[in-house]
Amino acid sequence: MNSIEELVCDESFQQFCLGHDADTNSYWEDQLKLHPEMIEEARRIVNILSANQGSRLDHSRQLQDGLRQSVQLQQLLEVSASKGRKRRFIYAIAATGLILFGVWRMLPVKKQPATYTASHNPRHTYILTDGSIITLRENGTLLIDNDFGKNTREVTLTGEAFFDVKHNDQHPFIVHTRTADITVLGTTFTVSANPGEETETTLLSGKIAVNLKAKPGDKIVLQPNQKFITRIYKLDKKATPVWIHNRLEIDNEPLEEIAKKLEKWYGIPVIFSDEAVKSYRYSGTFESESIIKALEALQLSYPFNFKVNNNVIVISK
Amino acid sequence: MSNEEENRVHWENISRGDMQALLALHGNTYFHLIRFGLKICGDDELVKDCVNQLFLQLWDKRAKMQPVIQVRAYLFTTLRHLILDELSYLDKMDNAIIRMSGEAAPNELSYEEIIINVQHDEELKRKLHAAMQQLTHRQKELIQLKFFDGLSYEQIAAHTSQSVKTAYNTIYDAIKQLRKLLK
Repeated sequence: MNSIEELVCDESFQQFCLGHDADTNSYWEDQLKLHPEMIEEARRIVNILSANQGSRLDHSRQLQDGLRQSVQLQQLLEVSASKGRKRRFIYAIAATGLILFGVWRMLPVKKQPATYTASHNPRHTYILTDGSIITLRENGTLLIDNDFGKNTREVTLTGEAFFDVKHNDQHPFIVHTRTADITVLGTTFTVSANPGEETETTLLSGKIAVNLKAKPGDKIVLQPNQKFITRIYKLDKKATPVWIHNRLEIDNEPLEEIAKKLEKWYGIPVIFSDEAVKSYRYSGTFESESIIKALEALQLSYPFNFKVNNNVIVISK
Repeated sequence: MSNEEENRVHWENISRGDMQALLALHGNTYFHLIRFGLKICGDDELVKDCVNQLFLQLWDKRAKMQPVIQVRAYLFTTLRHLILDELSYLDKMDNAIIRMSGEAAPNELSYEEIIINVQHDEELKRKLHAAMQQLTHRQKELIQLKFFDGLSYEQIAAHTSQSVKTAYNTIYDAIKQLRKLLK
């Protein structure tokens, strides 16, 4: 067996590391089984020096997966379109952000679930028992199953809502709408389920599976944490939902005033358990999709604590 | 047929809905695109994502594709836009800076910067930086041509006017030194 240096300098070994189709690849596969430590160390050096350019073959496989999903999605869209209503789905994944889901109306429900509604407020924020944050838009209604959080986390939406879902592998979060079930495994996204409007779906982050009721059994899984990016339709920056994107500009204001603004914007009571913290002053511009993110952004500049109790946010020192 | 002529054929076939042609174009251009992207941002994950996106978009828009003479140049430009979009999305604070730089090419990262940037482990970053300092200019140049630019020993020899054996030995010695320093 060669030394590690000789391996690193071997051109056929380099080709193997970079995923070229070479006849010698099977030889190196065998060597990898025989001398795993040596081969891995040599591969590590090649990867470092090639700046992790990666394996072309692996990357090509990822692309093929992406293409397959794109074709599947296209087929689903054709089914939806043939149902008579024109729809447009936009899927995109990036490292951070939110997801916007489109025109799906609510499902008929069996039991008598708890109902959350924003009614005529521009926004109303609820924090569910599992810690997930839901901001409903005006007229949005969310039905929470009675056994929410016990074995499953299922909600039914009509209207538009922003979700910041707490991660829980055991109990996936499922949003039912009239035409789709969206299974979420911890992410932030918005669902727009207004009847009679054009459908727009934008996925920017998180891990979700979409089942369209028009074609049960076909599931599309989008999971950027595997670093798979599909952007079937390029996301126009204007397409980010303005109604939930809060741009907070503050100029040397006390936290008490800021809290009032947040309370008004997100529609959730914010109270203080400590007087001193009210007068902490902040400046800056924050852009957030949830009140928790907004508070976390403030915490970065000067620390305070907050917690959520029965849909009330309590700020303390 | 030159690489670029091949790419033009693939391009035409993609516009007719040939998915194999898309994969062939990907195979032909993958390393060029990755290297180009790394010089812009030095984040291999982000660059790979954007390359993937580039080809998915191409497939999505295949029906509307216009003939292109410089396929690789077209892919480079599109990739650049994707990467800058992604960067500005990830870091809104940098948005203004990127916009200010407009269409002008941002400063290209050097080979050393890139290989250090893509590592996440601080200890390794530090060691790698120190190790690269120990190499001679010639050694660094040859390492880059071999491992980053993917040239063969013959090509390196021709490029640097020396024998294949000398090129190999220079790289071999550099690897030996690096291995010690990176332990």
